[in-house]
Amino acid sequence: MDKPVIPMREPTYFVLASLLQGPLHGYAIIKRAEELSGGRVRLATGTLYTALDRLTAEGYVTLVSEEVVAGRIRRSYGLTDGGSAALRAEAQRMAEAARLVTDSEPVPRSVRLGRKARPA
Amino acid sequence: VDDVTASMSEDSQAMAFERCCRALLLAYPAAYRAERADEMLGTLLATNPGKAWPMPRDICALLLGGLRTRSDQNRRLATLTNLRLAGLLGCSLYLTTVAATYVSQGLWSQYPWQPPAAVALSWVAAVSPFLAGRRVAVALSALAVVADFTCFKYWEGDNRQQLVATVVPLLLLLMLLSRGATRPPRHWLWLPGLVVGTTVLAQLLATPPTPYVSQPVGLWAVHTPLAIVLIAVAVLWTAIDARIAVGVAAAYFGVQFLTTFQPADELVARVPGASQALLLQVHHGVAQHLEIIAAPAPQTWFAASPMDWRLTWGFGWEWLAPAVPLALLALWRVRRQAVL
Repeated sequence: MDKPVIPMREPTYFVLASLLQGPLHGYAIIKRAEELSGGRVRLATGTLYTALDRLTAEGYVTLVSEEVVAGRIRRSYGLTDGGSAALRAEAQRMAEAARLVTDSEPVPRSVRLGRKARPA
Repeated sequence: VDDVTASMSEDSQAMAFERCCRALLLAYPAAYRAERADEMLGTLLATNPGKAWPMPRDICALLLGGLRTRSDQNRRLATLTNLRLAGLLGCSLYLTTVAATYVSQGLWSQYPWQPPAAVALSWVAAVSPFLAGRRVAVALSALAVVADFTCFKYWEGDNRQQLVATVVPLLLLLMLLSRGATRPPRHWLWLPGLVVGTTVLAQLLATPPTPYVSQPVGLWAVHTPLAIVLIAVAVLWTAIDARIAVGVAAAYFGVQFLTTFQPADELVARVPGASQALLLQVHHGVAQHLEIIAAPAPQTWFAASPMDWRLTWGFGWEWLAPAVPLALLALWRVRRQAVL
């Protein structure tokens, strides 16, 4: 049975999308999500780690590596198969929703607003 | 020399920034900090280069993130699971309120069919989902139902509504326990603890009104400043975890139904030496903290005055009208919590 599609907020979507090209650490995820969203999604540190906790518990993201940089631990996170599938499902859902609009022919204003065209 | 001075200034700024961040990270539980604080600090330093203070949005996110982690909101649960946990909390609060009222008002002399042991067993069953495994909790709840029925039959009690008021929440508890394995967070136990504490406080502070004071005194005297603080905390907490509001609201609805079965006059007649005003005050002690905790959820702001009115006149259902839209709002919040 297919796993039910879980509603996803925009920041979550871009956190997952930022990991598509490979594992990243916290700061790199913030930067990449901002870049991918054209500056719209600017994650605060607290928000990022809450999202990572939830995504890890959900099995969408996993800890890939740990290293010590300037005396501090730095962890990198990667996208799991489940995370990749969920991201693609969400992208497909949004694409289908977008196609409803982009694929439709432009309709005259009088039709859109339900007004009859006046005789010339 | 200028370079050295500038470097020292940067170092002291970085240290001040780190101190500030570490203070903010106290919002997170200690175990979480031990695991993550250094990593988060590294990210905070990278996102706020050369700053003495984190940005306001970082401060807000750290405080909210910490509180969410404390209330187990850093993992996603389905809406139904969240509602199930809220229901377990509601049953626990309701049965705690019943047990605390029973003890504080000496009701064992009024309801011989319900001996203290049966009430205590109901209460233990109500808090068991937080502390014990599911099987133990199911066994205790089933035992409490059997104990209540057996005692009722043995004593040939005449107040069937009282039996229903105890057994229905226990059956609801059994049903909720059978629906899933996720255990409610243990730190929610402070809420039943608060019910017990407030009941004891209300009992200690309860004094009959004097001819010079028309309003009952006691808990009311300390109530207003306490209420302001608690309401502020409750509003913030509901934004973080609406399950608590739903659970408290469910318990409060139960208490309202119970008091509807027990009009004030009947209570006054049953409790020896109780004046209506004294009883009203003790009842407020028990029920009012539930309203305060549930501040943004159902009934809070609207229920207080109809409740006074009903206790005086013995009936009244109008509190349902404002409660319904507010209940829907709380449920919507719980649904939002299930979004990833």
